[in-house]
Amino acid sequence: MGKRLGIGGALLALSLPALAQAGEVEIAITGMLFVPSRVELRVGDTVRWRNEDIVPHTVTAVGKKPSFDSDSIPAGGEFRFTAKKAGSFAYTCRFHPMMKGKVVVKR
Amino acid sequence: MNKSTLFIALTLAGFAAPALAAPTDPEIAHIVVTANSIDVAAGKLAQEKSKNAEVKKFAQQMVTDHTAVNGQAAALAKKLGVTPADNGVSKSLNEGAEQNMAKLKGLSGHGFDHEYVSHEVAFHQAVLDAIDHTLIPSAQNQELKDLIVKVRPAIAEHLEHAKMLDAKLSGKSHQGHRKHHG
Repeated sequence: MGKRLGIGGALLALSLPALAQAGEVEIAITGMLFVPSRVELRVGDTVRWRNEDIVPHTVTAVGKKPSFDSDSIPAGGEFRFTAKKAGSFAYTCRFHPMMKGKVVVKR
Repeated sequence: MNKSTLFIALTLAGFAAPALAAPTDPEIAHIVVTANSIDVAAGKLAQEKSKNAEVKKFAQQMVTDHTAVNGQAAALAKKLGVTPADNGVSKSLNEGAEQNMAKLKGLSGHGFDHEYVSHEVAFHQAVLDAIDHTLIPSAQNQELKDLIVKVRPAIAEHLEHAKMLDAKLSGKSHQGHRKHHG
């Protein structure tokens, strides 16, 4: 019995950090806004944008060499980005330059 | 405000006056489709005629977004079994659009860009006012009302985008056509 618990505990201990690493943050694209407009996550986490608007959008990091660029996300479509390095990433929609968001990645 | 933009404003504002009967759902559907189609046509013309990268990009967006909205409107009309009904507002919008297109076809270069973009500002402002004061309050069917509510932020974004472009183009026109020796 004690042995079994020990094995169970070891398995639990192994699986917990794995779960923590696979974090996912959801952002809705709705009403021509990124909601929420600012999210914080850790390296290894994934951000998932869902386009709930009627019109297509993009999720494009600002800068000459964008860290991420979804290309056109159709209405009802999704885009995922897994953070590989820490930093603050401002992003916009290439189609609608008034739309702005920020992803802050921490170690 | 030039003649054609004044015409749009008066058409949509006059329509919103309480003395006039509220539009029916089939009429609202027709107005939505008409307004979107007008902006798609103007956007296509701008994509052909403009040499300005930002104006072309904006025009592309108008074509994409207004085509998407029309697709949704057509799908909803079909689902609800509503046949869009032509009406005075749609007719006036089409007449105004014909005048605008005729004027734009006679222009080129910066003159074209400026006229196209300033007309887009007035058009989106008029549509936004019509959405708030006439279309949303008059729509009877909840799904039709919801669709218009959902479209509103896109129109508002287009208006801000057009205003930003208009300000940039106006800045250029103040320098005149001579080369600027900064």
